[in-house]
Amino acid sequence: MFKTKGKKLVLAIALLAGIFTYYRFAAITFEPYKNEEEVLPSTSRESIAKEVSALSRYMTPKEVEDVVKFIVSVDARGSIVEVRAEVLENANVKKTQEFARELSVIIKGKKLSELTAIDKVGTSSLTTEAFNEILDDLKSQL
Amino acid sequence: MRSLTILRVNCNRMQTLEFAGLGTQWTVIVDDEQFSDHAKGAILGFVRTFEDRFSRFLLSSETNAFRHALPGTYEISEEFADLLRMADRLRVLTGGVYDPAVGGLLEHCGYRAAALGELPTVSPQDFVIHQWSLQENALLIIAGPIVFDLGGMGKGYCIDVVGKILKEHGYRYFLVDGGGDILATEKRDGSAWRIAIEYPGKPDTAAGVVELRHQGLAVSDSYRRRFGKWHHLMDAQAKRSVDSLVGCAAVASTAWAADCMTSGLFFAKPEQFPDVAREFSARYMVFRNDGTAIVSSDWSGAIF
Repeated sequence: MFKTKGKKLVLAIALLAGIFTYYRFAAITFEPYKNEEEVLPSTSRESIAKEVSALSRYMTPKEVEDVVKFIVSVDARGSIVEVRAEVLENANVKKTQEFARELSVIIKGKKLSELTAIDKVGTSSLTTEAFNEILDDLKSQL
Repeated sequence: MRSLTILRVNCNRMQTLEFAGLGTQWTVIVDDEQFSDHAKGAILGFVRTFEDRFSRFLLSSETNAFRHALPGTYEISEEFADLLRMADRLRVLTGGVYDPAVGGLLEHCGYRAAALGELPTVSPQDFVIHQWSLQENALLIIAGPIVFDLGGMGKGYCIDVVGKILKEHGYRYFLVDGGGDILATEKRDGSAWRIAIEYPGKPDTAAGVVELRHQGLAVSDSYRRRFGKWHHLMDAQAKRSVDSLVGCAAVASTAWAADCMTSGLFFAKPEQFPDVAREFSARYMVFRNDGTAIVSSDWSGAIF
């Protein structure tokens, strides 16, 4: 019993450490612009200005520790150009690729008035006439 | 109530057609010196007809045709079958959380055509969403009446058809904006269209910029069409509004696929996002309520 609990504790610590490491490096790296003039990145490797990497350790459901190296390439403005994941130890390749399909980034936003050469703004649809017409009725039912 | 009128046509190299349709504002831009009246008429006619056929707020529409239907098999139009077929893919992908048959539930929550008047009071939890399936172009209604609500997915389909109409009229360089969801080719000079993505809940702020070149973009958030605790994105299983995320954006090869992707993001579990993205060959950004976002690693564009 003790052995099982201890093992789970070690696993939990390793998992948290991995998440923390990944989040810390990735999130800081992807906090990109800080009031600089916006320029769209190119997706070509020629545009890569910086590569950072971080090791992440996490446990599989079979309680095998996976070690994965995430390599994140950004351009001069900090835009993500490419993300790769290299398996270092024991990792299931397919699972690693799935894990690398998403990144957590900090979104601060930038005033539209600060952007240049924008053709359109992609938005959620404005409220429809039909919705406006029955809004009072809806509110009365709350 | 329904309006579909030309508001403005610009006279420069970029010719613009603006109109209201499907309950939102549309802008069609052709990067050409001529935007023929014939092409404009075809676009306006199609959007008007599409709205007549598929708006849940028009009681004569095809989506309302099964409001009083008994169980059985019904022939439906090829276009409606295409829309429901795609909706069925989303239903399967999300484990039934997305279901276009929530139209009746939305109506009982108050989001309904004024012409329906008062409806019997039914708790959302007690409202029964009847099952349906497709067999080729036949709709099988298993237990009882259904009101369909195609939502943003229908608009994406409509945007793509407007793009086809433009191509049929010889236009190769254009952008179709249907209420913020966009289909764009490249510009005449070969450059991409630069599109800012609105930060959810902040209309004056961009979360990023993408370049579109023969691609569709869909953006959705849970701030609009909200009434107190309710929202128009309804979980068909839990029978309550979806509030797991505050907004999302998707880029795919068509506006329809991009719209399906944003619907999938709202209704799928986070661990299902990559599967949904694979289904629609889409890239995505999901906004969480803590100022962070999940971005697919193939996302291309500036993030602010």
